[in-house]
Amino acid sequence: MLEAFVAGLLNVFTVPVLPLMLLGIAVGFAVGILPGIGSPVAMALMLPFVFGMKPTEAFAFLLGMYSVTSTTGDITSILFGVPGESISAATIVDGHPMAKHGEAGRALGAALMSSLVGAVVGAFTLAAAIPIVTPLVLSFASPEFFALALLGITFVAALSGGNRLKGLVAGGIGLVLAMVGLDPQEGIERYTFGQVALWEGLGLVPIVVGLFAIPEIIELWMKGTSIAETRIGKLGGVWQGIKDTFIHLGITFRCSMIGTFIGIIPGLGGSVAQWVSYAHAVQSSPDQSRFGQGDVRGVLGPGAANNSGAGGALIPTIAFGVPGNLVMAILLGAFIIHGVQPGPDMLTTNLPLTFSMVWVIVVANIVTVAICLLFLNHLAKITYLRAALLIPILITLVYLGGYVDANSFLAMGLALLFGLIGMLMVYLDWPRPPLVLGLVLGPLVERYVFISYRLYEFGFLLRPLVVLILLIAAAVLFLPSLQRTGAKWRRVWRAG
Amino acid sequence: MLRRRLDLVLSVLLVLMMVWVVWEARDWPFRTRLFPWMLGIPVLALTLLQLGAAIRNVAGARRAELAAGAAAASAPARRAAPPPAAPIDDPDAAAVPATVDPRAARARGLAIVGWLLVFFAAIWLLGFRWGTPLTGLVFLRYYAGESWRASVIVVLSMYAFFLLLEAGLSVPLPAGVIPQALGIGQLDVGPLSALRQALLGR
Repeated sequence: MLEAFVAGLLNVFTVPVLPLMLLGIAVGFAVGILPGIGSPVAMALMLPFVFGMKPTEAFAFLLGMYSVTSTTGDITSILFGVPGESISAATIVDGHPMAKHGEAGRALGAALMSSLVGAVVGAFTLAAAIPIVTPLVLSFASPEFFALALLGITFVAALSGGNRLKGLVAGGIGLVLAMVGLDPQEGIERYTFGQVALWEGLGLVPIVVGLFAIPEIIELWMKGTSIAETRIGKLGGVWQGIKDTFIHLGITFRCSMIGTFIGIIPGLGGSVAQWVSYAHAVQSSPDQSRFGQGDVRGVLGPGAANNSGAGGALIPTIAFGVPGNLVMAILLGAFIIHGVQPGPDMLTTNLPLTFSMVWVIVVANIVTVAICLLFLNHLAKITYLRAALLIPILITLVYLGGYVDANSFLAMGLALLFGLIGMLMVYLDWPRPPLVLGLVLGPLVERYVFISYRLYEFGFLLRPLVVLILLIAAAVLFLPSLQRTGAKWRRVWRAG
Repeated sequence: MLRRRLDLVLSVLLVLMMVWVVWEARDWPFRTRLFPWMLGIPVLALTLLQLGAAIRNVAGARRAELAAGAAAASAPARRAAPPPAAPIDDPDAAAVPATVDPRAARARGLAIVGWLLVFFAAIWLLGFRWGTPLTGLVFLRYYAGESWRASVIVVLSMYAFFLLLEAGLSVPLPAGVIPQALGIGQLDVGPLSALRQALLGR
């Protein structure tokens, strides 16, 4: 085992594995930083190029590319309020306000370092989990996956800020929006207004880009200044951001574990992990008043989780051939191209290859963070550009992000529509993250409910693991209210 | 007050939307209807609760306004009235710096919404590669008053970005309604093909 671990590391530093990994990092850097071009699209585009490579080279190239996209995606989220990747959207909530307050350097430092910590935690969890993961994942069936998705929805309450009722309504509307499209059971149109383009449902990317980016563009022009409202000289906050990662190491580590665990569960992935970890960062912090206005802990949580998910998602892909997300499905295609069989072989004869994947994730993130830190001053200076120069570029990126999601003008229109809805939500103090969480989790809940019902009827609700997860969900939902009520009663009792 | 009224309007719209969501599912087969009702009915209940909260907010604000008006009428007019303060719930006050006139900021907000629509129309008519740089040039030079140099640099960067996307990464982007109607695909496909031929020989 140790031999394979070392052999995996040495593999990464051979030629042409290392140059190919660096090339993958360069592509991933660009893909991550540009909104609209997601890592699945990039993976699919690059897949034809790996035919002529050996397995180690191919996975170094593809994984090198994939594992840095979420890191660089955070940069765009923080600087422009436009998610570079769909899995970087949660970083906007606190990262972009920090940039607006002249703390872009601190936010970027925190995002980069927490991304590195997350990637390392995810990769080594993958290494450690390989021998023990089989019984864990096999013990989960669709009822447990349903309960986990429901647990995710309960985090809506934590994402609602001061207004829990509005948050719950927004989360519910997100779940309802997720129902648009063809019914997965009977193939009947639901809420499509007869539009064929809506059969696939509402795209997540146009909605997220619209909800978060367009209100920022409007606000930026209303102010008539640069993204950063105040200047802090020579971006002094970078090291503070790096230090923040270690000051709040508990949050960073726990969110890394959340990202890894959610990454393991097929069908969830980074889009869910970022919001759940953000909610955890909010919920576990004693002082929650600055969340949403530029709290560094709101950057650390999603930053760590969206990177640790890569290692987590590889676990079911390698161990069972069950891809955790779309990127892993494409990677599975690369396995097949190279005749590599996921399953027990990956833990025995191909163990060095498995460990080289672990090391690629670690090394690629170290290289990316080092490059980013070197050029961070130049990156952050973009936030000092005049609003007028940025507006056409940002509008273009928003529409591009909307369009490439489904290659349709309807998706672009959706980005615009949700941009205006987002503006209204900001104006009326409605929280936006719960809507996105509902939209992400809606299809999963529906799918697992039906599979579970078909297999076990309503008996699936009484399975021990389901009961346990649902109890945790109930605690997440009601514990804060009970704690507040308890504190109020204690005050009344003490006052006599 | 305006914000509270708008919140009330939004709450009413959400209730109506949820009624429609539940009503629309009534004729669907059981398995299609199950999830929309399982979710729709509790969310409808939540929107009704929100509507109640919004009505209470508007009524509370109205009572406060009436009370303030009555107090002002009964107080002696000994000193000059203080300058009118911005409404507590005016979001523009929070969104823009104090140095920016809220009325001007609101006008700029409306203008940029207009520009969002103009960009959308330009992309639809001319495609990304031509629509966004041309609209960007008009925006920068004639609306925002930027220099020719800055405007051209930004516009050329946008054009180069789309070239990179289409030629380098093979991302398919729409040609736009006008080039398609004229049967010429991308407007610049001819000169670009000639350039590619000259540089790369293919």
